[in-house]
Amino acid sequence: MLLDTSRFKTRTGVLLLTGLLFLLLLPPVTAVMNESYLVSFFSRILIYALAAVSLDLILGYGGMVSLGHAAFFGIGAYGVGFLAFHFQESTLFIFGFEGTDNALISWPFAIIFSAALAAIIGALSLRTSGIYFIMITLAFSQMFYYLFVSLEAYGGDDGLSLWSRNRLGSLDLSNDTVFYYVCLASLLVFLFISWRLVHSRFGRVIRGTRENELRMQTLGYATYRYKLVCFSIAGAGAGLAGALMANQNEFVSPGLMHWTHSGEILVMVLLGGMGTLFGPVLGAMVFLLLEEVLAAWTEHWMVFLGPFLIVVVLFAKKGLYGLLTGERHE
Amino acid sequence: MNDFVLQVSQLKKSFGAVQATNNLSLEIKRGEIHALIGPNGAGKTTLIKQLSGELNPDSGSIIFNNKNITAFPMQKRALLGMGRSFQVTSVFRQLTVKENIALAVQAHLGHSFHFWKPAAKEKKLEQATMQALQRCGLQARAEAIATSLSHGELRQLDVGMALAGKPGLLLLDEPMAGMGPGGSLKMTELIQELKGHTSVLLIEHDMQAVFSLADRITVLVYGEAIATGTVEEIQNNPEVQRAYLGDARADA
Repeated sequence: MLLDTSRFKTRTGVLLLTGLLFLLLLPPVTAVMNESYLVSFFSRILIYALAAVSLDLILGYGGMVSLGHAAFFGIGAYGVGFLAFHFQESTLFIFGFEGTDNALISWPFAIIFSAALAAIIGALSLRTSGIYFIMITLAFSQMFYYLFVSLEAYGGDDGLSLWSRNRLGSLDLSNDTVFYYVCLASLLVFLFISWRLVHSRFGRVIRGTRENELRMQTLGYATYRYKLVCFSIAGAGAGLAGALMANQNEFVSPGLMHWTHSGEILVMVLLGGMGTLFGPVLGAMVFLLLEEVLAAWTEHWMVFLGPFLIVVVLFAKKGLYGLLTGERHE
Repeated sequence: MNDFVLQVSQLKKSFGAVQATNNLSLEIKRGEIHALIGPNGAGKTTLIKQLSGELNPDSGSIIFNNKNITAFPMQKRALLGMGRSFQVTSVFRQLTVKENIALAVQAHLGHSFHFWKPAAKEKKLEQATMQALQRCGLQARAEAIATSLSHGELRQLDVGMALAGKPGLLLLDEPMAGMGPGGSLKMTELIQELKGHTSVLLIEHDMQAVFSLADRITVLVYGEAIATGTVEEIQNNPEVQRAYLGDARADA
């Protein structure tokens, strides 16, 4: 486990630096190789990485196994979608607000929208634990899936199309390379925030609660509150990922909230390594690359992914990230 | 403030037909080590659970420092100064010894909604943690992950965490359970040092330890306190001898 920076091993440092360089240099290198479609594909990876890191906060550090994380991802996407839709139609959104295509408004809106929803769902779900928590988060996300399927005004089952990506200052997001770097920056900022978070007092409380909630309570912690705040922060992260995804695809649909989508994000975290923050980034990359490669080969690509996941989970306690860094704890 | 840190009156708790706590009244004087003995199944741990708030009594009241805490949740009692160690070691196994203790210390240093500053770099927290580590004699193992500790060290850590919050009343549930003679002695010393400034409710089967540590003893049988008194009084109490020391000695 990464406890503080002084324990940060050189091997881990080299690995992270290599990863960062790879991601930074990807657009120019692919441009030279004439494979620039990869930039858009990697934007998708970065967005899923962001969602996976946010899930890791509650799953890996908080021990809250949520099968409803895609709901917050989808809500974030719809946050952008709603505002873009009303902007396109020149109609009013709720409370007399107009729509907008300005990222500086719609992305924070998506984040707050998701965080607020996470607070509500969390407040109810966190009264349970274990298998009940898994089931109730799954149920909530399915509830939102069907709610959005039935929202005919916003395209219902067919989803919503955006005319273009959002405006973000003087940045041209319709340029895939620019958008890629915006996704990368978002991921790095969220990773940094999460890193600070898990090493703060709050982070310690969250990890302690995962380990032994009864003991935390006898020590004097109102654990429910801490878990709820953590759940909302994770929801906010997923909301940002959703906002980016809406821009990436220029399209939002209820499918983003489906529970199988939650399952995919969960698999990314497990594959990369729970409770490592950086592992889920690796997990998202490996998952989506495998999907891309295998799906081109056979439509039954899950047949190969399944056993691979089982092998990783069984033999690498901290996932692929743990294998690479050689971490043994936990 | 009166002389009692804890006043339990007419506490009742039953599980189905089993009366685990039966009209139990108990008073713990400020600064005393009060031992609770009784055969297995007498309801000792059930009582600790009700005192710490893990279980709610069916009726009766618990007064802690002149405050009726009968309906308070666990964390509130802890913050008021009630520390508890567990019969079955209950620590954060994947965290280091230092982090375990730090969590216990941190609980009493205001709320923990501090999201940004690395906890390991907070001077006040760090200092208090090192002091608490020293008190429970684990400073040499500070960076060890709790899973790597020996049984005796884990027991020390469990008690150390309960002590780290500088509680006014410490509930110790068989701190010597499963310890060798060396470990028991160390633990006895640790508890001995508390005498006078920290009130202790001690559950222990090791009679030697109980007789050497306790200021007063309460004997519990079938959830009922059949006698309370000094070590001598309890040793000479015929009812206690019959009910516990005599025929139930094998249990101890």
